[in-house]
Amino acid sequence: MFYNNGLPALWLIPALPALGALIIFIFASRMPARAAGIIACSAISLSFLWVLNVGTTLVLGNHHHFVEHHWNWIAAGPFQGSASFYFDLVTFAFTFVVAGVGLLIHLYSYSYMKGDAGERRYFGYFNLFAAAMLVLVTAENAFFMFLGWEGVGACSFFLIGHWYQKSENTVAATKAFLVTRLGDIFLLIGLFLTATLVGVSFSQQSAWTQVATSSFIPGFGGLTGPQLILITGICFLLGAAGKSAQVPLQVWLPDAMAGPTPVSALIHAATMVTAGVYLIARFHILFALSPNLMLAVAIVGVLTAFYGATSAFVQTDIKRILAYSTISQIGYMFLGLGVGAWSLAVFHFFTHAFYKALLFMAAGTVIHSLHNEQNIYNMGGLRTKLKGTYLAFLAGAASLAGIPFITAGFYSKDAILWNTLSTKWGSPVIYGIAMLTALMTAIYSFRLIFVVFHGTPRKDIHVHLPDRLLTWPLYILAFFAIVAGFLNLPIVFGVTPIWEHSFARVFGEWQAEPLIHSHAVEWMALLGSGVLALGGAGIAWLLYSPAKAPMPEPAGDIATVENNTPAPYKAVWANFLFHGWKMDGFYNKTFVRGFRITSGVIAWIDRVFVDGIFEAIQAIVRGFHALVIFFQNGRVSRYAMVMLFGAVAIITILLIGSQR
Amino acid sequence: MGHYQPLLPDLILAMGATFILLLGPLRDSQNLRDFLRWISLGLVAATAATLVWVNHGMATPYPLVGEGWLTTAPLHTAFAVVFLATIAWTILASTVPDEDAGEWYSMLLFLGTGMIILARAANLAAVFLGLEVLSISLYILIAFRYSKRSSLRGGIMYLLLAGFASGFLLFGMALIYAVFGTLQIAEIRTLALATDMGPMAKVGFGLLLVGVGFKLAAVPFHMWTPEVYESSPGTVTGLIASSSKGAMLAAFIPFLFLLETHWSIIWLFAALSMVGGNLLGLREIRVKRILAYSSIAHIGYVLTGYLAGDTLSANAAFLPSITGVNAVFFYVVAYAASILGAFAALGYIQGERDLTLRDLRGVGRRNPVLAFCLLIFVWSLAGLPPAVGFFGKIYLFSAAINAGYFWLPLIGLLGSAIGIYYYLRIIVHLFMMPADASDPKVHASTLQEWVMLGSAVAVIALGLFPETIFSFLRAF
Amino acid sequence: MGPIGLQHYLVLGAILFVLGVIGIVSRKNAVGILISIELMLNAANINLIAFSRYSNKPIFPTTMPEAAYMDGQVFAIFVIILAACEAAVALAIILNLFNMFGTIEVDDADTMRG
Repeated sequence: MFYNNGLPALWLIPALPALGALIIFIFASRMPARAAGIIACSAISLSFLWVLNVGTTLVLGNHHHFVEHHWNWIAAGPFQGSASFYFDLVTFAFTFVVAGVGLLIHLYSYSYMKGDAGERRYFGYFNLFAAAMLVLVTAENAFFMFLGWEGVGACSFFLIGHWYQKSENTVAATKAFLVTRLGDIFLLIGLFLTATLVGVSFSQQSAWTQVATSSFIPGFGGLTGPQLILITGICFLLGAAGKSAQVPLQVWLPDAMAGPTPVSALIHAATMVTAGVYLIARFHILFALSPNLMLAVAIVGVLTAFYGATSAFVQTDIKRILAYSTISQIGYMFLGLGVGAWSLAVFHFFTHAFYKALLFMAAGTVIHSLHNEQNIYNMGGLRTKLKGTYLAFLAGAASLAGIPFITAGFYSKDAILWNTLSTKWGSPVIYGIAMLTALMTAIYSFRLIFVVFHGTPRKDIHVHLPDRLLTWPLYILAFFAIVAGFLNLPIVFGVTPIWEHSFARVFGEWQAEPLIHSHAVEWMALLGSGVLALGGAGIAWLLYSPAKAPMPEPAGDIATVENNTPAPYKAVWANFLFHGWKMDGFYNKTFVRGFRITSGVIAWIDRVFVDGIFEAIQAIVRGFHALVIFFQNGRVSRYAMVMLFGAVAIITILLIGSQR
Repeated sequence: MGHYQPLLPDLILAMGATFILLLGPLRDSQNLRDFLRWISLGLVAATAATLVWVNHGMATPYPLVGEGWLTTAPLHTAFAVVFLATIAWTILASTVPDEDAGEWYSMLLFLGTGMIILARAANLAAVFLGLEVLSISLYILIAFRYSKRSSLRGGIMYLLLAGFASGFLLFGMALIYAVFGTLQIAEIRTLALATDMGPMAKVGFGLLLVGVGFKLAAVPFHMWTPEVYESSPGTVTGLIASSSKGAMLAAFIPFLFLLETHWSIIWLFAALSMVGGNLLGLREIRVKRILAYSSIAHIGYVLTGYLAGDTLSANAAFLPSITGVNAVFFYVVAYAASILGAFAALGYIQGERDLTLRDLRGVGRRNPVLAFCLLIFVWSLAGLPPAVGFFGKIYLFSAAINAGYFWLPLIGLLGSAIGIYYYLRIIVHLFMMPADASDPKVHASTLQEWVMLGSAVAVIALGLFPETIFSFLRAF
Repeated sequence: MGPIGLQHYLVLGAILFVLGVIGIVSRKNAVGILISIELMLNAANINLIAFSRYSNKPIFPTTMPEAAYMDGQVFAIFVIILAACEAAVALAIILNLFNMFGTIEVDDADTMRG
């Protein structure tokens, strides 16, 4: 049962947290609130241990993958889906993060959610989410994966709306669900096409190569193979964009921060939002067969990265900054996918999961310590009061910024940037935008550090110290946020990139090979992105360093943030009086105003076009609604009249039309 | 006798219903209600068993029995068994006052009689008979709480409009009879396909479609649904939405030859229903009406499947290869499993006047079992996996795509995306809104809770093993 | 004017049918609507019986030739019985409505609604 032919059973991985959720939901009213957390933590830790067991068996045994078949779920013609599990290196990376980081966040939640009215419900859904996410990444075919895909969406919905007493939270939950569902419709269409053309099983995907070369496929109205590949890929891309908050379906993620902070850490930073990356990585053969498709993915990725970074730059709510930063970082992952660096996209997912979960949880600790204060301009000077949290946050922010040589984020991001420049799918233009985004990323990361932790407290707030469960998960994540990068050191260091090397087994010939072989160029690119990160940190120091400027007056609550935002910029002016007005004007005009104008434009596009489209749809729908409801007035004779018109219409159509 | 033996199931059920009606007045007996409930259940089971037994080994295409009255085709028998199951479910799940138990169960059994006649009708007269028996029982069931004004109004409204529709239907039948000289549907089919239809036949079929459209509540014959759904007892609403429409769908299968000439009407019905139903539900706050509007949309989905007809299309390179009628069978089962439970659950929750979304607040805490079941049912209605409703939609739309319709499934997909909004609102109010000052009143007995839980499990189980429904179909 | 034949019955049926339809659409009185429904059903009955009587031989040789001539008339009897059942239920409901509201107008918008 637990071992098949000496290989560990895969079904246990999602089954354990599912069991935990089941126990919590069934006995919810009969157990103490704290017990729910203990059950949830034990379930996820057992699952994590099992993941390690399966993973080591896979790696040490040098297997390509394990498959485990259970039952035929749906079988009708070409439409075959079975409840089967699949485990290869990609699965290992994802399950490791889902169960491992998930475990740390569960432990953190145990302390964070103490005394919350909905504690049992919270842990029930948390475990259920882990189960669904593990189904998503261990499923053997796209159809079974879709079950997990919808499951995580549902759990996300419930957890965003956890504090449902505030109506904004339920609105945010609903918005998140509906926007992702919009993507899911396209995903389903893509799944149907896949089912018909090659079959949904992941081991059948190489059959796309045959589709690509066929000029006629019966039953598709004369579409050729490459056209079908393009359509399928676009559908998958839209599905992935919905789930992963990519342009143009990114609007839901910042609002999703309405949920408890650990939820944001697990679902909206580390795991669920990367499901789109997983999807495209799984269907890499399909994508690699069409250069247009690759370009589309890369463009979506780089646009999102840029969008997220500029937006993060002007936010003042600490969680929203991190949310935009997540959007931006997933954009990098998509960029990695789009240039054919499949394994590096997965690698960036891997490192990002550590440092972004870390940042969210550290932010949660800060928010928790300051009694639910989320405006960064009301923080400050926390460096001494929350020393451990500060160090952990610093590690996370450094990794996010990509501080060279010592952080994981540097290695994973730089590898993607290098591939953008050097492989056949990449392009210098995209590379340039990505580099600019990297600079901005460094600036906003260190803006957080300086504003939140340095200087003196803006408000006389009583900080209550976090307990051990709120800090130790941070230290563990901080460790990984630094050292995980050494799994894939650049080849110019004279070592083998372990990660890329191992994943070559999965992605095989589809992995993009660099066209530029010059080590000197690669060194330059490497140092260039390092300099950008350090430069970004330096700029942040110039702009936001409280050491060089008196602290601005305490800002109001988040609602009035817009008025308060310029305050630190004024502080920068004061600080740089010594160097002359020109410099201030220069900074102000080029960087600050430039960024603000850019992000203003993007916000405007967002408001007018993206929201506008949604609003237009709503208006149209409402108009029709008013029209149809007009007849629905409860009068028998009116109803009879409508029926009569219907009858007359039918007979007219029959008599006039359809002459055989 | 041998010739009439296949009529045995209908006979058992009708006689049993009469018997129970006669037992009803014995009101001094304390446990009469429980006794009647189990005896009705026994009658339904006996009928189903007889149905399977008399049909055993008769599976030639459309064999006619009882002077060409009914058909014993496997699909129709399977439909009849499903409808009996919905009746049995309702007998278990409904709440009845003691003094009216006899009438209640008897009318449910008559309703079942109407359904199994209608579902297996092979003759225009049988269609009419089944339809009327079904409708008359429904009038009584809708107006059953005759001390409530809304209940009476719903009953009379349904009666008058259904009578109007019956008039169209019957006049259409008369015209068809005039043209073809026979009431046998199979013979009409042969003749209609062999010859060019004159205007009289076209008008006849058009009027027939008006009657069918009314029963199915397809736009533009949908107007009665919100009021009638709102005013009926919860379990009855479920039956109106599921098996009473299902019986009409089953009766329509022999008429599918009409697709040759009349497909545009069905297409319009489907498109208008999917668009209209989903739009109407958007801003409604009365829960039963939301589901009423959604049922209009669901009929649109079903008709989309019917357009695919009963043969497998040649270009079935796409998606599940499944015939339209099989997809419809699947959907009827899936929809019945979900909507019966949903309406019954709403019936247990008391509102101030009409049940509004506001009344649902706090139910999740007050009665988690019921709320959870309702969540599952609504989930399935919204067509989200892994609930069975998801596969229902997939099969219907793929059948339609296989048959060469592209726009209609697209409209359906967009429509169901809109529809998710109002289903989600129900869930939001169930679980994610703080309750008002007063606690919601929920009245459900232990038996009823178990029945609900059972069907919730069934909805998920059928979603995990959707093949079961086809295996069931193949067993006939 | 020839002898009374099929055409005359058809015209009569059509007139009755249209009268019924007009009655339903225009009337507000529940009993009036019920009577109009009966008109429609009986219009169909007239047609059924007329066709049954005047079509000397069925166009299509049915499996049971001797029964085929009678089909329409048997159907008409069914319809009469079912219409009677329907009227009985309808009148019972209308009676209750009258007891409760003192009116049998079904189109009172504010009472019928909701």
